[in-house]
Amino acid sequence: MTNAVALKVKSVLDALRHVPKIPFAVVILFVLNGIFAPLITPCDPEQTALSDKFLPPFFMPGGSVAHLLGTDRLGMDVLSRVMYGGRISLFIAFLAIVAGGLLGSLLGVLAGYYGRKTDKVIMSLSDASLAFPSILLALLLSISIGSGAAAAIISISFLMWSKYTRTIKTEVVTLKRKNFVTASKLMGASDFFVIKRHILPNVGNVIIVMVSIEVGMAILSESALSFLGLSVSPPTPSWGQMISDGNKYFLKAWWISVFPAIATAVTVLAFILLGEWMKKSLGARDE
Amino acid sequence: MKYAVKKLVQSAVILFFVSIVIFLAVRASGDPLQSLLDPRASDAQRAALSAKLGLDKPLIVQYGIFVFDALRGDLGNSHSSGRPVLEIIGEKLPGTVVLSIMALLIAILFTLLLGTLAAVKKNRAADRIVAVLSALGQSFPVFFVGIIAVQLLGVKLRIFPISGADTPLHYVLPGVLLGLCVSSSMALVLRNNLLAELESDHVKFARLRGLNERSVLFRHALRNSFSTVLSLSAFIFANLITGSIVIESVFAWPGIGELSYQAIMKRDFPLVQGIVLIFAILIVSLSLLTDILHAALDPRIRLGKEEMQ
Repeated sequence: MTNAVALKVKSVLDALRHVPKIPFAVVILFVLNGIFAPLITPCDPEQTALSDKFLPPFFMPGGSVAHLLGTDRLGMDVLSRVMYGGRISLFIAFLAIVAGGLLGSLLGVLAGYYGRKTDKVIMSLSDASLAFPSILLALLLSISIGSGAAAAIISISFLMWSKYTRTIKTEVVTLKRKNFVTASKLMGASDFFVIKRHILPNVGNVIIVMVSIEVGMAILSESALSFLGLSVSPPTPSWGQMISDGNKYFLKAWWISVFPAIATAVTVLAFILLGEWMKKSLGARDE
Repeated sequence: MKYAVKKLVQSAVILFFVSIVIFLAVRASGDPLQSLLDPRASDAQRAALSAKLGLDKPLIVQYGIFVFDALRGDLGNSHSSGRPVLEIIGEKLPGTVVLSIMALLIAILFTLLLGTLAAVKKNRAADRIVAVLSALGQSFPVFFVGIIAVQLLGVKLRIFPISGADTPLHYVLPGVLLGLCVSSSMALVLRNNLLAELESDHVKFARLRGLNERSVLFRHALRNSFSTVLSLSAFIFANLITGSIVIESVFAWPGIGELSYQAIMKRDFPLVQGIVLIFAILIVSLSLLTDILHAALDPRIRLGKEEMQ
């Protein structure tokens, strides 16, 4: 057993040697910032100081080291808000993906394993969800439970689940025809046992690859929702809302919206690149 | 024909699910009486209003009434202006439709250009550039690109007007941005399909027949691979609607996207409900249309699916 674990660790380390370094570093930084933001931000992100409003970043005349990336229209520190906004993005994206990924994978396994009617019902649900963009669900939720983190998480996971269902279903359908699954069934194993022992471990890689690509999409969706006022509400900082906030003062104080936009783009790009790399390396090892 | 009927049934099922989601979401908003009645109202007044609004009936009957009203085109009245929701949406719909058509044409143009270029110049500089552009397009929030465009080209350089839809010039920025937003996901799909197509037997055969590379590419490979892009129709239209809500709010475009932004800000529940329903119907009917067209053009779709099952 310990031998198997050691082998697993070794293979993970081997794989990590070829990881694209910059995207990997960005992702690690994003996660660490998300966890430790309250300990490392230079200022309180919701502390207003009207005497310090529209301060430019430190490298421009009039800027100060106290507010490295300047301040916004209420004198709140842009750097601290970008860091806290990252925390919100991480939190919402993480929960949305856990919820959407679990539900979607479960339905995918069921549809692929049982086929027939189960498959038809689940697939028509997943088709229906394609016709219903997450932004519309967020609109509806803003009426019913009010806009906020919960509404954003529900809408984004709603965007995610059907992709998992489709992909996992295709995987399971091919797995089901494999000999070891048939053999296990012939030996009298229950459906639950077969799924747990033979199906789930074999779709794990696919799920991991999907997750890493989807994190980027989730972060981007969250920023679009918060831009429209459909996610967390001020003064809680979020990237989309900061961009929307800075819009009115763009020529006067570009830094209010440019820094959160750069943070969004860099993070999303890093997740996409890392996901592409995982797709290639995990896919190649399977064959 | 059989395929068309099957797709039609599928769309009806989808709209059925959508109507349930909309109905439940609105009913989950808590007690509507609370916002309509004085908190000091007596129980009798409560019961009277509840009966008048049909809230005392079982949920399934309420759902029936909701669907029946929606089918008659009655989506209720807007809270903020008191006018019928359908009327308000009707006024704004043309703006969104024109913008979307324009964006779609631009998206198709971009996709064809970039996707083909990337596939033909596989692994060369042009392919890399398209990959980078597409990754950037997918990672930068489109509303931020919109803001930059408005501020630099509109406010600072005064080349383009920044809000409204009065002159053709007003259409340029939102149309191009929405088009880019939609095509960034389509171009790579086309590239990958086209690459697979260029390796396929019928393309090899066309080459062996001595056809020149241009006609192989345009008449054989591209036609087939573009039709696979069409099969993403539901996804593309959903993307278009999402994009239009964001883009319209950046450009203060007189369309449904901007209307929905206003409706959220004013907490205008019936209007939000109506907008969601109209958008869902739009996506479903548009993708139904594309699917049928797609099947008419490509026999593999009509016939292939039956065989596979």
